[in-house]
Amino acid sequence: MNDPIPLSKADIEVLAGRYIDGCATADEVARLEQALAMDAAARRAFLELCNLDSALEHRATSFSGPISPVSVVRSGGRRLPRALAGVASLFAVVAAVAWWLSAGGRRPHTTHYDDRALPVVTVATIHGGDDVDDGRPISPTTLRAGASVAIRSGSGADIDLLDDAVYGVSSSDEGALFGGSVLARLTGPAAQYAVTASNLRITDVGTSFRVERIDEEHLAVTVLDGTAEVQSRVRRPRCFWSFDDMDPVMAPTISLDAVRSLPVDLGAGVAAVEGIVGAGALRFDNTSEAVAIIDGGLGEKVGEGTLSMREGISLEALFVSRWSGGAGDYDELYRKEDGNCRVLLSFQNDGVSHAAFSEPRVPPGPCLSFGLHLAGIGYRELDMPLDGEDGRPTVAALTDGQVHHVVASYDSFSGRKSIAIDGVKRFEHVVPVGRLVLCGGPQRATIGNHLGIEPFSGVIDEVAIYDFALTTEEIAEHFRRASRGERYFEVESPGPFVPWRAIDRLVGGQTRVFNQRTAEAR
Amino acid sequence: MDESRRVEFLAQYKAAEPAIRAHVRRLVPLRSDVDDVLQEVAVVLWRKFPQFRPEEDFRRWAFGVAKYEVLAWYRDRGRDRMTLSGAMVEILADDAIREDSRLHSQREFLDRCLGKLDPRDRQLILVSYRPAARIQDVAARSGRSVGGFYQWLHRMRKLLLDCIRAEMQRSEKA
Repeated sequence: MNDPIPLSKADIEVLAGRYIDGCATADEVARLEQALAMDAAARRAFLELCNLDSALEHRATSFSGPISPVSVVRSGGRRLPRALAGVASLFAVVAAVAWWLSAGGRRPHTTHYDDRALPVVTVATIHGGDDVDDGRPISPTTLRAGASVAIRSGSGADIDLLDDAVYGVSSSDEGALFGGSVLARLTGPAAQYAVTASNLRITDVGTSFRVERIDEEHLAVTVLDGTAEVQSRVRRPRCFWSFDDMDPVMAPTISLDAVRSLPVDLGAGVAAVEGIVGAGALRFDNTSEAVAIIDGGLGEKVGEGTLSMREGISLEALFVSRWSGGAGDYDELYRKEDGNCRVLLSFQNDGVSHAAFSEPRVPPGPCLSFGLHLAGIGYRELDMPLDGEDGRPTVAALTDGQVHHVVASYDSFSGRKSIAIDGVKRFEHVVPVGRLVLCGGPQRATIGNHLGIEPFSGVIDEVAIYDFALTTEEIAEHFRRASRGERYFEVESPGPFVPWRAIDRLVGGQTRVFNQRTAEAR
Repeated sequence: MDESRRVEFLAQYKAAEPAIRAHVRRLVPLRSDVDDVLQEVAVVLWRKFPQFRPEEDFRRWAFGVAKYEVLAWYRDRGRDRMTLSGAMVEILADDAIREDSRLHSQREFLDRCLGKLDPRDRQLILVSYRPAARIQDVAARSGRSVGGFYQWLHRMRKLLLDCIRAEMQRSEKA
């Protein structure tokens, strides 16, 4: 039999790497063993790599806070002897205190922000601009147009931007008018298009119409040819999980959204418990498995899918939080991470560090963070300090064992980004009017965790996601209803909500003025 | 065991635990298995602590206990996995005890070398080593396939090892 060929150091490192990653085949393990048996230097290299692996593991763990070296329940479910369990508990306390002292309460949190710029959907092309721009595809964005700019929507409508229009090209068949006026013409029988303004939508069922902003609240709709339907928004969520449908036998780990039946899959760290409102709610146990994954609503690109919002967004939930409030501890309520086009609502504390995306800048410390990517601005977080100042709650107030109501919302028509707690707006920041939300895409959204490292601790119920900003009156009303044990809103009929309701129909030559907020004709 | 010995055990174990974990980790291939072995080690150390003499080095004593627990783990659960043989693990365990001081020093240089990585690489590598991290998720979020991510991880570890070795040499010369 031939002697085995000695492996190079590089080969041994590759084999050892595959071995410790659990990827090595039987043949590779055998070759590694042979090399280690033959050569003390190979064993040394192997031990060095294992040592590095273990040091990295330790280093990574030290970011996340106290970890007991002796866990009381092992993976196989067997328990330690009672006496040792007591010791382990005591040890865990000692270890936790030691960690806290050694960290000085200032250890930075390593959270994972996916900063990639994922592909964004193309919604239209520019026409009539300068030579460079003509025919250029555009993603959801707001155009501040001169007289000669026009676009062709992905759905086949020609849109002229007039009177210094400020126009959000939000999707392939819809846009939002923030200023000036637009003229929409369908180019063929299959084409379709709608112009929205807050609670109002004008959709073309004929050939051409013009929408002109008269003032901050009013729009004049003129139909030039054919017919246009004027609609008002049905102010109901795009998705809503009441968690009342949990079937302990048939589907103990799935809950369906009441609007579109998007399922939420529950991790092992989530249990169905008695509802804050209705029959069910979810208890999150602060472990890596404490996660409810929304299994759907995705798109291939950013800007696509059910969980893609454009002109506005609201995230609403009821919760009982047991968040520590400590430095480095993040508790997620909701997160969808499509690269840097993420949406999040989470409790955060970066210790003495200023949060990277905070706008406006706030003092370091515990906060409730509402993160959103706005086209033309980028990803920013509205970090509401939990400091008890100016009507803001403290950590203690939000972790008092009681139920709290949260709404985080953004409205591109007013530029207001705000967080409300228990029915009252507590913190707000205003950005320039007309910035569209960029979100949605291929990554699954989660309730109660992110990558297993930011688990929520406590109970979450009645999670609603809207594609518009709830008003202060609606937020107060939702809180009042929830406090009485009722749903946020009356459910008129079972099944999907219709997002828009026809209120008027105009034909060629007619002009009518509507209030964009109330959707009433003047 | 009386209260004073219990307190002594806690103090000794607390001081030695990172080293014991590192020692076990060098010998057990999968991170997910380490906690199981460590728990057995902790149980045996606790049971055997009355036999431990105060003049002994607790760490070395614990390493000896850990070696047999690792071997027991290989015997009981390692056989159905792609693992090194028990005989090889025993050799490695003895090597690791002999090399403990040098391996311990290596760990001291990790932070410095991590600091030399691109911040994104540093963050990604630490995220991938978090106890709860699923490589599939981390790989997807980094825009790589699982196979591609492991290759990247291999390159990062090699970079770090080279850096650590260079830092150690520099330190020894100084």
